[in-house]
Amino acid sequence: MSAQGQLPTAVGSTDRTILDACADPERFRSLLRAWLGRTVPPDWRRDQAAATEKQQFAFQRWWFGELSKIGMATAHWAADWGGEALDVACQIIFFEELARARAPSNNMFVSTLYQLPATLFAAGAPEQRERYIAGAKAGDLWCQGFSEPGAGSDLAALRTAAVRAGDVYVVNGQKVWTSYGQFAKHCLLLARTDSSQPKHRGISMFVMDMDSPGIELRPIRQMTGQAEFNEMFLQDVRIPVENRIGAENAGWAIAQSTLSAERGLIIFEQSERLRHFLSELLTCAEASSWLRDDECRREFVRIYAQAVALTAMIREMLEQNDAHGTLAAQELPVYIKLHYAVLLQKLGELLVRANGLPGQLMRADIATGGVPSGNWMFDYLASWSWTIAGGTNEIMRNIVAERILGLPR
Amino acid sequence: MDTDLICALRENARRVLTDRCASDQLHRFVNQETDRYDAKLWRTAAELGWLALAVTEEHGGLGAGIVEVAALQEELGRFLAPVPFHSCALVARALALWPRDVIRAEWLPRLATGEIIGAVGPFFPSSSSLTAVRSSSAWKIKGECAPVLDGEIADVFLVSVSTEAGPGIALIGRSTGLAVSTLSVADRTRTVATLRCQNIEVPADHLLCGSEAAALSDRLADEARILIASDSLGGAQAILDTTVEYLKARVQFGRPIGSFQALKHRCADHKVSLEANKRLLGRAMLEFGTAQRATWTSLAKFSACDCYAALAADGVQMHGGIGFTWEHNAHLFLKRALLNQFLFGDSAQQQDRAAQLLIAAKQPL
Repeated sequence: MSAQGQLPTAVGSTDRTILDACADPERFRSLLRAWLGRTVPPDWRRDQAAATEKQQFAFQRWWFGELSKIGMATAHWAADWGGEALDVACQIIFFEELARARAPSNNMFVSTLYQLPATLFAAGAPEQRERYIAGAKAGDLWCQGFSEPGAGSDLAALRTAAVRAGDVYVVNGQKVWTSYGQFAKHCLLLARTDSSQPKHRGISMFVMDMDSPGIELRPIRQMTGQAEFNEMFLQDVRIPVENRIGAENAGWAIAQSTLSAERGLIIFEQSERLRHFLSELLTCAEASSWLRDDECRREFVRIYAQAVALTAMIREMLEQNDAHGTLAAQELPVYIKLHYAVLLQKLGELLVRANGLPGQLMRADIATGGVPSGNWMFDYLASWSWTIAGGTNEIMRNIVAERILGLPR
Repeated sequence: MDTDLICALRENARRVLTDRCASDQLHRFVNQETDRYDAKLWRTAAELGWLALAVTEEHGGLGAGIVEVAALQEELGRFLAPVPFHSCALVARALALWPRDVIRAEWLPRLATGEIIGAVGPFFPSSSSLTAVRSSSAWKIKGECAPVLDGEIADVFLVSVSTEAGPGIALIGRSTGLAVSTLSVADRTRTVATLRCQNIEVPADHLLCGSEAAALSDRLADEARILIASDSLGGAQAILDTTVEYLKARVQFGRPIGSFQALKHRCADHKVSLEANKRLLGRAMLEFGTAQRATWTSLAKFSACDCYAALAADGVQMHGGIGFTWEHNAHLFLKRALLNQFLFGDSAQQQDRAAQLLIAAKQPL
């Protein structure tokens, strides 16, 4: 089956059979499982192994479209977001079944599916919600323009400037780590609108159309060999005033809503895939030799225990979020992020070491399957994206130590 | 028992133990040689109904489940309480499943009031050389078993034995022919003993063998592991709290040393490890009645104990010189942590057991 290049089906033709079964979780699960069995192309991993980023994107759009047909692409969105407001128990089942079926992941759509709605519904004007949400549901890709060469962990030090000129802002500066910017239609952009204020207080949030004149993207090749990220140079890019989200200089607080959207379901999907991956590892032929080695086996079980602890923490967080209707738990997301990043890297390192030279062979990477992919060296290298992105381990430790344990700065 | 009752139990325990297990009292206890447990605190525990918690209702107890018993053990671990609650709760829970009612009626009411203390043998492979031979209406037991937590102070023992019909489990009281010798373990908040049996005679209904015994032994050992894990997380929380408070108060180079990332980042890692292990243990208790009990228990046991040991060791280091002194509590936590790691199967044994079960299961836990 060649899925590449196919576009998602138009919104409006949603078949709600599976969604409507959610009152009966076991029926929901069995319908979903049957649908996955019919829909996930059996050879997609092999087909995607040598695909270019463009082909991978086309494949993910196709998958996004298939999920849209049964209402599952935006099932986690609240009803007032235009989503299906699927209850958390069924969202959990959904990700369990995706992992069980080794289905493709929608990781290119993280900004689209999580950050965009979280931002618009925290601070967007009604007409902004109307304008962008329908497009997002139809598969418009969004990217994020937050980090800069001089503003990484210290994001509020960003210097990209947006200067008001009549009914537009003129933007100049440089962004970095813009994931999939080359495919994106819109960008959530942070820029400085008042440099006389303390650094957190002079920042605004914008929607920047990626086809605006003055945007130049240069791919950044990562140590995995992939080029997921871009540098983004902005020269006299004109953004209409109506594209500003929230009040001028209120962007920092809005960005917190954007970023907190990441710490929930995405990591649950990751942890479910990890759970199945670990289980498959225990029975796969490559593992059978190193599992006989006492040190490797015990180290593996130590990591396994951390992985099931991770799942338990995430489920508790999802239940708390569900009970309070928001990201209620302030502590658990921090623990989860740090715990997952550390465990993924330990696992990656163990599997490279345990597999000897074959562990170091760079097989073609599989970006759409999520990490771990079973490609030992690739997975290990990719683990740094979790220990660095979205708050480095060191920043996360500062947060735990200072905000939770109350240790002095 | 519901969540509110568990909260009430915990609060009650904390209030009593804050008063009765304060640092100076604990040090008075570890510095003396006559008493092997805090008998005064034990009497209070009996009066408060703690000892009745694990005993079935028909025998004068409260019939609580593993979650409630574990909650109390966690509080006792937090305060390093020198009382044999762990052992008594285990004996009570195992006897509740003993197939002879006369035995339950004989021992359980006395465990509920604290009149007697129980202890359990090691219950993991090759740690008991006790053998039982059937002679007409009784069993004769001989051999040695160690380590037996609280063995020195116990009146009644549940021990694993080997019989001609396979592994068995025996209930033995103090009698001639039973020699209990104390091992001088570094952890002075508890005692560990070796039992030597020289042809002790026990009535036929005091020994189970076959599948009945195997199921009970496995369950008993897993309950022991859950309680040890609970004790460990209580202790880990306490030494982390103590360390964090010290880092906030201790000033060097003109600033609290807790402001140094070299220290605060370690505290952060310990905190995350502790929070993760609380969820792992919580999940293991939820799964205790399922077919995956053994896997979850082994994962939770080694993981909680390793967390405690790492935290206690680093707690000593982060306290600097004061942490190296006898007067400080840090070493008491470390010693209890290391004994916990060993009891009822050390980390390597638990990891091997979990690996074997996970490989056989062929599906995610």
